[in-house]
Amino acid sequence: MSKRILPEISVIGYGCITAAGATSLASWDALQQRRVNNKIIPSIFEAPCFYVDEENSTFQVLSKSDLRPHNRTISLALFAIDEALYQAGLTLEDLRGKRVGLALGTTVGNTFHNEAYYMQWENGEIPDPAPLHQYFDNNLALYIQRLLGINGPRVVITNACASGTDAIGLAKIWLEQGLCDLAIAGGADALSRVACNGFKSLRLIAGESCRPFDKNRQGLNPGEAAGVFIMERDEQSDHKKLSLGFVKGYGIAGDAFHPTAPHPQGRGLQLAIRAALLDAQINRQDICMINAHGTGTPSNDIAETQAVFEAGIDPSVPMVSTKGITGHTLGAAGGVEAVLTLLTLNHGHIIGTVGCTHPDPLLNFPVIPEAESQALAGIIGISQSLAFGGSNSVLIIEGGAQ
Amino acid sequence: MTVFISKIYAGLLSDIEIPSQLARHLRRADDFIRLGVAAAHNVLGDEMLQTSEEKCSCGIFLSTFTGPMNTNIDVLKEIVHLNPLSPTLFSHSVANSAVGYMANIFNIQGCTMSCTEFEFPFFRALEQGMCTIESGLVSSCLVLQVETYSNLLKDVRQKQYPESDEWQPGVACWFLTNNETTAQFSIDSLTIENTDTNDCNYLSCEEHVTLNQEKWSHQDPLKTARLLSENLSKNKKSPMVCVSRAAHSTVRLEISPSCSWQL
Repeated sequence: MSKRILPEISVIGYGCITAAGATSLASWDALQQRRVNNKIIPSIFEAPCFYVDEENSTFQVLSKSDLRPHNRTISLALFAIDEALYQAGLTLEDLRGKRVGLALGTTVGNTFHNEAYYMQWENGEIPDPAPLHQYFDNNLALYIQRLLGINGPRVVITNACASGTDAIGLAKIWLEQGLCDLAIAGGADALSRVACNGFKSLRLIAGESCRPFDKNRQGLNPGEAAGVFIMERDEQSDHKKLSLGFVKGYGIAGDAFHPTAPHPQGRGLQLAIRAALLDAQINRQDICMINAHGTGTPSNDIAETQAVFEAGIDPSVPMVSTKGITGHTLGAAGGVEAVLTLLTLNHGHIIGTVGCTHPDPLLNFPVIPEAESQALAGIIGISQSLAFGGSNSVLIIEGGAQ
Repeated sequence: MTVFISKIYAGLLSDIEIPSQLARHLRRADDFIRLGVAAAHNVLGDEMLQTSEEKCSCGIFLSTFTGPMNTNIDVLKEIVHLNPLSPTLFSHSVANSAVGYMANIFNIQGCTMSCTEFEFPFFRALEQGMCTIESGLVSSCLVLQVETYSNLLKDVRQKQYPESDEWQPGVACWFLTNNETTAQFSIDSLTIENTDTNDCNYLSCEEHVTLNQEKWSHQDPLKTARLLSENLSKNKKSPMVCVSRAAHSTVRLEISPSCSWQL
């Protein structure tokens, strides 16, 4: 393997908001307690969903008075970013005018799906233009870039369920290539009737709490959330922030197989894992945990475990899914799961997959069921995502807090 | 590292022809997917990406102003009327549907990304494509802007801005590579500067484009990328400086003919 000399990419702040908790630590605590907070929201969907109750959430760095009208996806993203900024000890003044990259993944956050507007338009009426104006004012990254007053590359990645992972991976590349000095990256997505009904049409929805990797799993529970990292080149830590961990590697590869279904052997995920290991310049033996995509759909869990096995990861490495407490948060999932992976690495023990009581014997890689937990044998883990379109993305994350 | 352009294509939806060998793959596809696949076929042809290494080191960066909005609206229609939703319709409404089809049909197994952007979508995709080639993540990639806009937006613009240019659905697509031997052009520099404004009306935003000495003004989010692509295709022997200014940002792109192309 040829060694490239690249800067370490340090995580100096993280934040997430999920149905499990309004902050990363609250979500982490819910994971420790195996607390499942899903419910049926009749106005959205007929099956259990993970809905964020953000009514009592407050900002510590941002100010609500600075906000223009915005959609729920932006609202979730702002709570996660606010927590990450606060943790990094960064104020808006620290950011303004700086080369700060902003890479955010979403699925429905950038689509126009206002039902009232559509119905008025369909009926030949003149709709209230406000929803359309808000759509054009609510590009996820553009809105937040202008709010924070930052200069630097920005992107909204709409790679379906891998969007958040790809956003962090792309921001890592920006930092390595010197396109920016600081990067905010992750994902955000609000619950939508479009996504819920879409997954229902594909027969991927569970009628009960989701059970990733369980032999009786029925499918996924839709969820909403946001999760972000704030990252910088480790060498430039001029404000002497504590490094909370590192994004060591990123790999992305395609199945080139089917528009919605994963390749049965997880061909693209195998390639992505190998690419991420190469990027991190580590060996498979250095991996001590895997936070899987683990949606709880029959085809995902089979293909994903097969890919991890084929990629040569030691079966003694504990693999879990955290979607049992967050639901499948689509474009946010990669961001949220990167945060939970880093927290797991920094705490040194991993909690079994909530909802998995009887691991499916057909899985080709062992998983940790709900009742178990394990001490970790190292400090480097994998967080991975699979998406519609056959895209597969892998982050290799190293814990940093001692 | 220098990034090269080896192939360029631009076209309107009304002019796109689907090659017969692709028709079977696209029989259920919407216009957004058809545009992406047809453009990719125009730049990749039938002979590209033969080896496993080529397939894994080739990527796609597709940026779009509105994504597959007509299909999004079709899904919304089924939901508001409580009709059963077709799984195919839903999967085609996802923003990376076109990239998924392109990767599947052309066996592209490297980094594939879809992005949504209201401000110079093509140049934002170009920026990411260049960055990932320079980083070594891919050695080549398709960079595209695909637009179908939508009947809804067409209707809104006709009512609100009857004097303005009609947005024309279409595609612009470049094949970037780190390999000079197949290059037509090299990209010397790309800068995108944002303007500090919250007041841009994207439905009627004017872009002022200069390609060397020639100037245009228009309101179509795809048109700058199409004009630039068409000009580069016609004139492969001269350097090109493209400057496009809008209320929201300014792009400056400098391109030179490749030495290998001139030999």
